[in-house]
Amino acid sequence: MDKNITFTINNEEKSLLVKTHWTLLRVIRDELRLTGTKEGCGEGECGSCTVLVNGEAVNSCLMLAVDVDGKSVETIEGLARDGKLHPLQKSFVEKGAIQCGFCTPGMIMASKALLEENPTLSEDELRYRMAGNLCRCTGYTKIVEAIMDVAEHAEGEKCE
Amino acid sequence: MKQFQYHEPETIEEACALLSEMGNRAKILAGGTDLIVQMKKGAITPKHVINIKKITTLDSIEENGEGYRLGALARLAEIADHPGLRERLPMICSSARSIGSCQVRNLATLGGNLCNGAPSADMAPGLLALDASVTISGPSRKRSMPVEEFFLGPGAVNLEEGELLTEIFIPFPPEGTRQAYIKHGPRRAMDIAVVGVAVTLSLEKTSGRCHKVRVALGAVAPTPVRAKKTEELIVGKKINEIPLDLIAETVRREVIPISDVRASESYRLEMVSTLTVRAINMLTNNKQE
Amino acid sequence: MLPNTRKGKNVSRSEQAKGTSERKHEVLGSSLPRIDSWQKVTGEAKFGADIYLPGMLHGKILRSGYPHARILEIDTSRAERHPGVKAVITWRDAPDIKIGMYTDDWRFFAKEKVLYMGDVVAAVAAVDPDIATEAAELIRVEYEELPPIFDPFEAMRPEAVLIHEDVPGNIACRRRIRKGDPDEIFARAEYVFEDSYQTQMVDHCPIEPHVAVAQYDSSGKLVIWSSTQAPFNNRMILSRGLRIPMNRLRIITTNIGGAFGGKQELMAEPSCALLAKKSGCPVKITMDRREEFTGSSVRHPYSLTYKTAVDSNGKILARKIKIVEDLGAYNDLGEGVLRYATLMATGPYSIDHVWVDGIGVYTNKQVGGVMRGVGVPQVCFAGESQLDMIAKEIGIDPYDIRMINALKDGDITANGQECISIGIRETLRRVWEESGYESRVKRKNHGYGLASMMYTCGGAGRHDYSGAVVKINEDATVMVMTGAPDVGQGARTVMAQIAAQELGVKYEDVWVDQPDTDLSPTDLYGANASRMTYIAGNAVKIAASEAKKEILEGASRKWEAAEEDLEIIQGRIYVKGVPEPLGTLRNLVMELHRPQGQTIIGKGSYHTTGVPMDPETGQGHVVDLYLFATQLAEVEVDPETGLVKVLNVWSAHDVGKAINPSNLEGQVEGGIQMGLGFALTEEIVLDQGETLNPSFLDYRMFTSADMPRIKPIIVEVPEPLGPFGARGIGEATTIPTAGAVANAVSDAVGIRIKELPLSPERVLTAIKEKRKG
Repeated sequence: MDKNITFTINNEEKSLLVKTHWTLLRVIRDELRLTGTKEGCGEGECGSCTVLVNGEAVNSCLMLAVDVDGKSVETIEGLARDGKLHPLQKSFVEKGAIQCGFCTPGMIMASKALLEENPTLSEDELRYRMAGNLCRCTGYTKIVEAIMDVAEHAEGEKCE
Repeated sequence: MKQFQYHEPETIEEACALLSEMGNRAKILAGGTDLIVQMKKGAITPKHVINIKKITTLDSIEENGEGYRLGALARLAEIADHPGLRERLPMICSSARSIGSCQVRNLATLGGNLCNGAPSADMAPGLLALDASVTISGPSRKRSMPVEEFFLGPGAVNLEEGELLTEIFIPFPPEGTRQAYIKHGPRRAMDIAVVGVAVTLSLEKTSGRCHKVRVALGAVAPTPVRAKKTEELIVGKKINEIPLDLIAETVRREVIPISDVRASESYRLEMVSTLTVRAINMLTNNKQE
Repeated sequence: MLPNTRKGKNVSRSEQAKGTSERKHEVLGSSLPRIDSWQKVTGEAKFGADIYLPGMLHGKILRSGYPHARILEIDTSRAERHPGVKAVITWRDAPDIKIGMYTDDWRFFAKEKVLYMGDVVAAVAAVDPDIATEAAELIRVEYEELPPIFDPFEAMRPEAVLIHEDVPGNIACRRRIRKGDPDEIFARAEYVFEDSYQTQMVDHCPIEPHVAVAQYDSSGKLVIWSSTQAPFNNRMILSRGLRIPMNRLRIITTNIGGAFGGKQELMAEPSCALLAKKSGCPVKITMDRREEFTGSSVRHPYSLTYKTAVDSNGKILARKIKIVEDLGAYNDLGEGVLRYATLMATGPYSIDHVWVDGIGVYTNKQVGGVMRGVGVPQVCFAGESQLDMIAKEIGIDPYDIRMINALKDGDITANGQECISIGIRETLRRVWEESGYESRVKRKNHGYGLASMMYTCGGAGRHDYSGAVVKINEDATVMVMTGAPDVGQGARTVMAQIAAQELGVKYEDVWVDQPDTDLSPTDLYGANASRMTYIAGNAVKIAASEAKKEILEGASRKWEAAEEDLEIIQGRIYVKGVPEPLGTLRNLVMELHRPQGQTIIGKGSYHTTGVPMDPETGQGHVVDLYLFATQLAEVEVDPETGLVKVLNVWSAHDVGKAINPSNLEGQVEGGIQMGLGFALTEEIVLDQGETLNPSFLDYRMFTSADMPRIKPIIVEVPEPLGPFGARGIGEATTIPTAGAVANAVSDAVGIRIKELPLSPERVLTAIKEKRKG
């Protein structure tokens, strides 16, 4: 079945005809060709498909596209502005938190939402809240360091 | 995923009418964290999907003096971090927090967790231990029942054709009630409970006797269950009189766990004993979880 | 488009020693930001699934319905008629040929028999992925079930049905080591221990599933984009299997979302290629997570027996080891894995009498491939567990018993090789130091466990080589062409650093792309056996030095100075000892191009000198260079639930020379995540050949919430054969972990479990049994 949906994605308004059984992930990747968001498992276990919907981190592989009608979606492509990386992106690069890079967009989107909600969370709490983002390359060490570094300097920079 | 007819009712009545019409050809879509996974696997292939999230009255979390009313669409993330719930019903918060990941909790709903009917549903033991009740709306009537009567078997809940779970009511326990939910699994997060134990312990101020206790268990029977014989061993006793060894023995006889890919029957039996005693010890030492 | 700046905190720099004119060009030893970080952090970097070509179809593979069966008939007619389907293929669409890495026991599509439930039977290409899935379900296959075998010991019985009808006893390969006479020692020794161990089937679990896209161009040439970690290896087999000459078959490596050995073999490529041919359209196949668990390669389960004699001082006098490697349905890379396991089974110890017998046995289960550590995590778990147990029995500290036996320069290994410039003792010592081992305080249910390992870097007992080309552009920026794939370990970055170091240019001026079999020189085995830095790195270094020679020849002519008196630092040309530069590399290169018409291209290749193991004795100079590491794990055990909490892991590695310290740390941290899963929570659970947990829900990897603190320790004992003295590290980081954790659990609660994983249930059962007895 087809349905028309209207939503903003990375601050751009889109109107699309989608099939009701398509997931948000499929629309983002196959229809909008925003391929930064990845499919790692399709079951909401690995977090590689994490995007922000109305500012909240969700598994886009578990959402039907029709469920973002009237909402705002943010993907990894929307983070850097005018050639300038978001503080989280910059921190990931500097701390060596990227190896294969496949989990990276999901990690960044999830941690962005976390820090915006709670800029002063502890490392232990961060690790708990990032448990839905799996990584096989890094052991999470430098990822956590990169995010905590941004959290600790939260006062300094803000990139909306 | 196979294609389906998609519906977005805006009222409970509309939803119930659709459910009546479609019968078992239809599935309710709330958070989707269970349904979408099953549909992608091909384990469930509904011809109709009824997305109830447009029914705006269903996602509230409200206190009414006697307890908390939670709409069936209240999301686990909201429940986990709700300051009011955390103050009076912290066990419900910790149960919600123990489920899945942040991303899953931002989508998943209380109603979904219950209606999925999994014996391991993490919201269930806490609700059982707090004497919660559910309200169900149907095409011609509303009915309420204790949560205990809602679960019928693995994947089976007490909903007739055309009915929709709309509300969960959790009464405030007696003042000073201690409560804890222990979810046991091999990792700190992301696991389905191997065993879930919820205990509430209400002590009289003056005598220090336990005047009310609830022990509720998940993942160890065809439905989440109350361990009533175990409760009988605790009620009326002072903290230092609680017969922990007898409890460890008794609680095992109130469950019928299975062996599956997550754990064996014998391990689950062992954990039911160990963790029930552990929960009681935690509460008698006044540590809440 | 973001600017391509790679200046991080540690930029390539030149240092001027004060008071002298001694200059140094230092690119190595810096944690320079990776070459591909920017593209990956913005989501720009394209992986295989991100490729969309005009007219592209989506493919879906149909796998076997039974673990062991004869195929009677395959009826694809309903699938072919399904609207939106453009091609359906089976064995009939492929050349009738069997292929494989070591044994030609495999086909792209099963023809007579299916041998495990992941076996490929057919594939469909359709305009939409949902249609492809639906159509695959419409293919009707008629099977005649055959008795399946799931246990290698069952498979070896005389009455067992043969899985490959031409392989007697279901034994596909054997490896032996014969050094001295252990039985003679056992007869006389004061202390002899014999123990058996069992390890489980686990998966690589790269977060990116396997993916391939295939397209025939208008000339009929086949182009494949793939997540492969071994493009040249794949090309060789695909060329044979499809009967296409290598110059008509191009494999382009995409960004790879993790591999760990699981992307060594051909997976979706043959299906994509044949579907593309039949449909006349490009075809993409992305495997789903379920297929990753059921149809991709796994780590071989091992059954091990260790018999060890020691004297009262703890010196190991003899070790006799039996290895049964559960191959799964095909030999694939099993023979190679057995080789490594056999060579490294003794552990990093000097032992005069060693016998090892390894066999690879077929079963009707997932195919064992190469998975990080290739057989050595298994033998290390067994050997190190036993060593600790022995230490406890005779009253010696686990650290001391290792130091007593650890190999030294000049010692002879099990396969009769002399140790040259090795660092095992250093790794032990550094772990001891950094962890405060000597003054460790043990609480109840709390313990520490050591494990040391030996491994190889760059393969063993096989001929291996890599080629590289270094090309200097007219503006003096540098292109490095190498067949070395970056699977996320940072190979491209390391190659850039090596080239920059050798040439004397800035790291930021060097570019390295992923391999393309048309354009890159051959690199035989790809990102395998921790061989990138050593083999590909050496090739790059040689190519860079050749390019540099050409540059210096030109400089010598231009400035009339002797070549040996010239040096290049940070892109400037100097006479050694003279403070002012003669000129820039850029200007010189421009001149060499025009008007002299001289392109500057350096070519290099490097090959290993290790020889195959002697089939009877395993002796020979098999290993080019050895790798050593030691890990110490600190754990807390909950004695009532059996849950093991890992608090800290110290991990010391002899890397020869740390080219990029941050990269090395990343390898340690990631390898330990995989090792901890192997030790405690990961297992593919099968029931009659069917996988019960083909998803991340019930196949449990460590999450960020489960990880301990990790302390990577870099030891640098220069390796004479390595580029700038460097060795590899990729697999060493995961090899000792299970052994260390098992030993720590033993230290904590006094139990000894000889089977992995150390699940809560196993631990609890062992604790209860100990209480009883």
